[in-house]
Amino acid sequence: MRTSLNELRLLEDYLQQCLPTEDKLLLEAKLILEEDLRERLSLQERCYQLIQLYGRIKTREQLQRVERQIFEQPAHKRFVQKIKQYFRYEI
Amino acid sequence: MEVLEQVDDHVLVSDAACLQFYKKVFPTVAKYIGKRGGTLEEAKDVFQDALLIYYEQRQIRQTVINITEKGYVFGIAKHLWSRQSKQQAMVEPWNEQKDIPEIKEETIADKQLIQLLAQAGERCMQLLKSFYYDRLDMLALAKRFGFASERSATVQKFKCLEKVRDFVKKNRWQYEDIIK
Repeated sequence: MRTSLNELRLLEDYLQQCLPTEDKLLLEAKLILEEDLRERLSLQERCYQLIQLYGRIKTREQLQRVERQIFEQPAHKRFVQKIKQYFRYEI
Repeated sequence: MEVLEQVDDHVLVSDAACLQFYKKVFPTVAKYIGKRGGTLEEAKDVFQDALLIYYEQRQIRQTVINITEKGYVFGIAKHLWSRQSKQQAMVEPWNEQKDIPEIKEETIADKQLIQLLAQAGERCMQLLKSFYYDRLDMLALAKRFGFASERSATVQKFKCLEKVRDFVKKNRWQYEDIIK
Protein backbone atom coordinates (compact mmCIF):
# COMPACT_ATOMS: atom_id res chain seq x y z
CA MET A 1 0.00 0.00 0.00
CA ARG A 2 1.16 3.53 -0.62
CA THR A 3 2.40 5.65 2.28
CA SER A 4 -0.80 7.66 2.79
CA LEU A 5 -2.85 4.45 3.03
CA ASN A 6 -0.39 2.97 5.49
CA GLU A 7 -0.81 6.08 7.61
CA LEU A 8 -4.59 5.64 7.55
CA ARG A 9 -4.14 2.08 8.78
CA LEU A 10 -1.75 3.23 11.51
CA LEU A 11 -4.16 5.92 12.70
CA GLU A 12 -7.04 3.44 12.57
CA ASP A 13 -5.12 1.00 14.77
CA TYR A 14 -4.32 3.85 17.14
CA LEU A 15 -7.97 4.94 17.40
CA GLN A 16 -9.03 1.34 17.97
CA GLN A 17 -6.35 1.05 20.65
CA CYS A 18 -4.70 -1.93 19.07
CA LEU A 19 -1.24 -0.52 18.32
CA PRO A 20 1.74 -2.17 20.06
CA THR A 21 3.06 0.04 22.89
CA GLU A 22 6.25 1.00 21.06
CA ASP A 23 4.39 2.15 17.92
CA LYS A 24 1.81 3.95 20.05
CA LEU A 25 4.47 5.95 21.88
CA LEU A 26 6.20 6.81 18.62
CA LEU A 27 2.96 7.99 17.07
CA GLU A 28 2.04 10.04 20.12
CA ALA A 29 5.42 11.77 19.94
CA LYS A 30 4.77 12.56 16.26
CA LEU A 31 1.31 13.85 17.09
CA ILE A 32 2.83 16.35 19.52
CA LEU A 33 5.22 17.61 16.86
CA GLU A 34 3.12 17.50 13.69
CA GLU A 35 0.01 19.64 13.49
CA ASP A 36 -0.98 18.21 10.09
CA LEU A 37 -0.90 14.69 11.49
CA ARG A 38 -3.12 15.77 14.38
CA GLU A 39 -5.57 17.21 11.89
CA ARG A 40 -5.59 14.00 9.83
CA LEU A 41 -6.24 11.97 12.99
CA SER A 42 -9.14 14.20 13.96
CA LEU A 43 -10.61 14.04 10.43
CA GLN A 44 -10.32 10.25 10.41
CA GLU A 45 -12.14 10.01 13.72
CA ARG A 46 -14.90 12.21 12.28
CA CYS A 47 -15.08 9.91 9.22
CA TYR A 48 -15.84 6.91 11.44
CA GLN A 49 -18.66 8.83 13.13
CA LEU A 50 -20.09 9.78 9.75
CA ILE A 51 -19.90 6.21 8.45
CA GLN A 52 -21.85 5.01 11.52
CA LEU A 53 -24.43 7.71 10.88
CA TYR A 54 -24.65 6.76 7.22
CA GLY A 55 -25.13 3.11 8.23
CA ARG A 56 -27.90 3.98 10.66
CA ILE A 57 -29.70 6.18 8.13
CA LYS A 58 -29.52 3.45 5.47
CA THR A 59 -30.77 0.84 7.93
CA ARG A 60 -33.65 3.06 8.98
CA GLU A 61 -34.50 3.69 5.31
CA GLN A 62 -34.64 -0.06 4.76
CA LEU A 63 -36.92 -0.61 7.75
CA GLN A 64 -39.26 2.17 6.62
CA ARG A 65 -39.33 0.79 3.08
CA VAL A 66 -40.30 -2.67 4.34
CA GLU A 67 -42.92 -1.24 6.68
CA ARG A 68 -44.50 0.70 3.80
CA GLN A 69 -44.60 -2.47 1.72
CA ILE A 70 -46.45 -4.34 4.46
CA PHE A 71 -48.95 -1.63 5.29
CA GLU A 72 -49.63 -0.48 1.72
CA GLN A 73 -49.52 -3.56 -0.49
CA PRO A 74 -52.74 -5.62 -0.88
CA ALA A 75 -50.72 -8.83 -0.52
CA HIS A 76 -50.35 -8.14 3.21
CA LYS A 77 -53.94 -7.01 3.81
CA ARG A 78 -54.86 -9.90 6.14
CA PHE A 79 -51.74 -9.38 8.21
CA VAL A 80 -52.54 -5.67 8.60
CA GLN A 81 -56.14 -6.45 9.60
CA LYS A 82 -54.85 -8.79 12.29
CA ILE A 83 -52.50 -6.10 13.60
CA LYS A 84 -55.24 -3.47 13.66
CA GLN A 85 -57.33 -5.70 15.94
CA TYR A 86 -54.80 -5.01 18.68
CA PHE A 87 -55.67 -1.32 18.46
CA ARG A 88 -59.45 -1.57 18.37
CA TYR A 89 -60.08 1.73 20.09
CA GLU A 90 -58.37 3.58 17.23
CA ILE A 91 -60.57 5.03 14.49
CA MET B 1 -29.16 -20.58 21.43
CA GLU B 2 -28.15 -18.51 18.46
CA VAL B 3 -24.50 -18.10 17.56
CA LEU B 4 -23.86 -14.86 15.72
CA GLU B 5 -21.59 -15.43 12.81
CA GLN B 6 -19.94 -12.86 10.61
CA VAL B 7 -21.87 -13.83 7.55
CA ASP B 8 -24.72 -12.37 5.55
CA ASP B 9 -27.42 -14.28 7.42
CA HIS B 10 -28.98 -11.49 9.43
CA VAL B 11 -32.54 -10.21 9.29
CA LEU B 12 -31.57 -7.09 7.35
CA VAL B 13 -29.53 -8.82 4.65
CA SER B 14 -32.35 -8.12 2.17
CA ASP B 15 -35.76 -6.46 2.12
CA ALA B 16 -37.34 -9.91 1.70
CA ALA B 17 -35.62 -11.29 4.83
CA CYS B 18 -36.51 -8.15 6.74
CA LEU B 19 -40.16 -8.39 5.63
CA GLN B 20 -40.33 -11.99 6.76
CA PHE B 21 -38.86 -11.12 10.15
CA TYR B 22 -41.18 -8.10 10.49
CA LYS B 23 -44.25 -10.28 9.92
CA LYS B 24 -42.97 -12.88 12.36
CA VAL B 25 -42.17 -10.56 15.28
CA PHE B 26 -44.24 -7.39 14.91
CA PRO B 27 -47.57 -8.99 15.94
CA THR B 28 -46.16 -9.82 19.40
CA VAL B 29 -44.87 -6.28 19.85
CA ALA B 30 -48.10 -4.73 18.51
CA LYS B 31 -50.24 -6.86 20.83
CA TYR B 32 -48.10 -5.92 23.84
CA ILE B 33 -48.22 -2.19 23.11
CA GLY B 34 -51.90 -2.24 22.06
CA LYS B 35 -52.86 -3.86 25.39
CA ARG B 36 -51.09 -1.06 27.24
CA GLY B 37 -52.89 1.74 25.46
CA GLY B 38 -50.34 2.49 22.77
CA THR B 39 -51.24 3.35 19.19
CA LEU B 40 -50.31 1.51 16.02
CA GLU B 41 -47.95 4.32 15.03
CA GLU B 42 -46.22 4.11 18.43
CA ALA B 43 -45.88 0.34 18.04
CA LYS B 44 -44.32 0.80 14.59
CA ASP B 45 -41.82 3.35 15.93
CA VAL B 46 -40.86 1.18 18.91
CA PHE B 47 -40.44 -1.86 16.68
CA GLN B 48 -38.23 0.02 14.23
CA ASP B 49 -36.00 1.29 17.03
CA ALA B 50 -35.86 -2.20 18.57
CA LEU B 51 -34.77 -3.72 15.27
CA LEU B 52 -32.16 -1.02 14.75
CA ILE B 53 -30.76 -1.53 18.26
CA TYR B 54 -30.80 -5.29 17.85
CA TYR B 55 -28.90 -5.04 14.56
CA GLU B 56 -26.27 -2.61 15.86
CA GLN B 57 -25.74 -4.53 19.10
CA ARG B 58 -25.38 -7.75 17.20
CA GLN B 59 -22.78 -6.28 14.85
CA ILE B 60 -20.81 -4.65 17.66
CA ARG B 61 -20.77 -7.59 20.01
CA GLN B 62 -20.21 -10.41 17.51
CA THR B 63 -21.22 -12.73 20.27
CA VAL B 64 -23.71 -15.23 21.51
CA ILE B 65 -27.22 -14.28 22.55
CA ASN B 66 -28.87 -16.82 24.80
CA ILE B 67 -32.37 -16.25 23.49
CA THR B 68 -33.95 -16.32 20.05
CA GLU B 69 -33.86 -13.32 17.71
CA LYS B 70 -37.58 -12.90 18.22
CA GLY B 71 -37.25 -12.98 22.01
CA TYR B 72 -34.36 -10.52 21.93
CA VAL B 73 -36.14 -7.97 19.72
CA PHE B 74 -39.33 -8.31 21.78
CA GLY B 75 -37.31 -7.77 24.96
CA ILE B 76 -35.80 -4.57 23.56
CA ALA B 77 -39.23 -3.38 22.36
CA LYS B 78 -40.77 -3.96 25.80
CA HIS B 79 -38.07 -1.91 27.46
CA LEU B 80 -38.26 0.86 24.87
CA TRP B 81 -42.01 1.01 25.42
CA SER B 82 -41.66 1.12 29.20
CA ARG B 83 -39.04 3.83 28.86
CA GLN B 84 -41.36 5.79 26.62
CA SER B 85 -44.50 5.29 28.69
CA LYS B 86 -42.75 5.66 32.05
CA GLN B 87 -43.97 2.27 33.25
CA GLN B 88 -40.59 0.89 34.19
CA ALA B 89 -41.94 -0.94 37.25
CA MET B 90 -44.23 -3.04 35.10
CA VAL B 91 -41.40 -4.65 33.14
CA GLU B 92 -39.34 -7.38 34.72
CA PRO B 93 -35.53 -6.90 34.86
CA TRP B 94 -33.71 -8.34 31.89
CA ASN B 95 -30.07 -9.36 31.51
CA GLU B 96 -29.63 -7.51 28.24
CA GLN B 97 -31.26 -4.31 29.57
CA LYS B 98 -28.01 -2.51 30.25
CA ASP B 99 -27.12 -2.80 26.56
CA ILE B 100 -30.13 -0.91 25.28
CA PRO B 101 -28.89 2.48 24.11
CA GLU B 102 -30.88 5.61 23.36
CA ILE B 103 -31.74 5.92 19.68
CA LYS B 104 -32.02 9.50 18.53
CA GLU B 105 -33.84 10.44 15.36
CA GLU B 106 -31.37 11.65 12.75
CA THR B 107 -31.57 15.40 12.34
CA ILE B 108 -32.16 17.18 9.04
CA ALA B 109 -28.56 18.40 9.29
CA ASP B 110 -27.37 14.78 9.62
CA LYS B 111 -29.30 13.77 6.53
CA GLN B 112 -27.96 16.73 4.55
CA LEU B 113 -24.45 15.81 5.58
CA ILE B 114 -24.91 12.25 4.41
CA GLN B 115 -26.16 13.54 1.06
CA LEU B 116 -22.96 15.54 0.78
CA LEU B 117 -20.91 12.47 1.59
CA ALA B 118 -22.72 10.41 -1.00
CA GLN B 119 -21.31 12.88 -3.53
CA ALA B 120 -17.89 11.60 -2.53
CA GLY B 121 -19.01 8.28 -3.99
CA GLU B 122 -21.99 6.13 -3.09
CA ARG B 123 -20.06 2.92 -3.72
CA CYS B 124 -17.29 4.01 -1.38
CA MET B 125 -19.81 4.84 1.34
CA GLN B 126 -21.48 1.46 0.88
CA LEU B 127 -18.14 -0.29 1.12
CA LEU B 128 -17.16 1.61 4.27
CA LYS B 129 -20.60 0.94 5.79
CA SER B 130 -20.22 -2.77 5.07
CA PHE B 131 -16.94 -2.88 6.95
CA TYR B 132 -17.37 -0.41 9.82
CA TYR B 133 -21.14 -0.58 10.43
CA ASP B 134 -22.23 -4.02 9.20
CA ARG B 135 -18.87 -5.40 10.38
CA LEU B 136 -18.32 -7.73 7.47
CA ASP B 137 -14.88 -9.28 7.48
CA MET B 138 -12.53 -8.73 4.54
CA LEU B 139 -13.42 -12.00 2.87
CA ALA B 140 -17.14 -11.22 2.91
CA LEU B 141 -16.39 -7.66 1.79
CA ALA B 142 -14.30 -8.87 -1.15
CA LYS B 143 -17.11 -11.23 -2.14
CA ARG B 144 -19.84 -8.63 -1.88
CA PHE B 145 -17.96 -5.97 -3.87
CA GLY B 146 -16.30 -8.30 -6.37
CA PHE B 147 -12.64 -7.93 -5.34
CA ALA B 148 -10.19 -10.65 -6.26
CA SER B 149 -8.75 -10.98 -2.76
CA GLU B 150 -8.96 -9.78 0.82
CA ARG B 151 -5.86 -7.68 0.17
CA SER B 152 -7.51 -5.87 -2.74
CA ALA B 153 -10.55 -5.23 -0.55
CA THR B 154 -8.33 -3.86 2.24
CA VAL B 155 -6.53 -1.49 -0.14
CA GLN B 156 -9.84 -0.30 -1.60
CA LYS B 157 -11.29 0.24 1.86
CA PHE B 158 -8.42 2.56 2.80
CA LYS B 159 -8.62 4.35 -0.57
CA CYS B 160 -12.30 5.01 0.14
CA LEU B 161 -11.54 6.17 3.66
CA GLU B 162 -8.93 8.56 2.28
CA LYS B 163 -11.42 9.86 -0.29
CA VAL B 164 -14.06 10.50 2.36
CA ARG B 165 -11.51 12.11 4.68
CA ASP B 166 -10.34 14.46 1.95
CA PHE B 167 -13.93 15.26 1.04
CA VAL B 168 -14.77 16.05 4.66
CA LYS B 169 -11.70 18.26 4.92
CA LYS B 170 -12.52 20.10 1.68
CA ASN B 171 -16.16 20.64 2.64
CA ARG B 172 -15.54 21.27 6.29
CA TRP B 173 -16.88 24.82 6.31
CA GLN B 174 -19.98 23.78 4.44
CA TYR B 175 -20.91 20.93 6.77
CA GLU B 176 -19.94 22.74 9.94
CA ASP B 177 -22.44 25.41 8.94
CA ILE B 178 -25.04 22.66 8.46
CA ILE B 179 -24.32 21.20 11.89
CA LYS B 180 -24.85 24.63 13.47
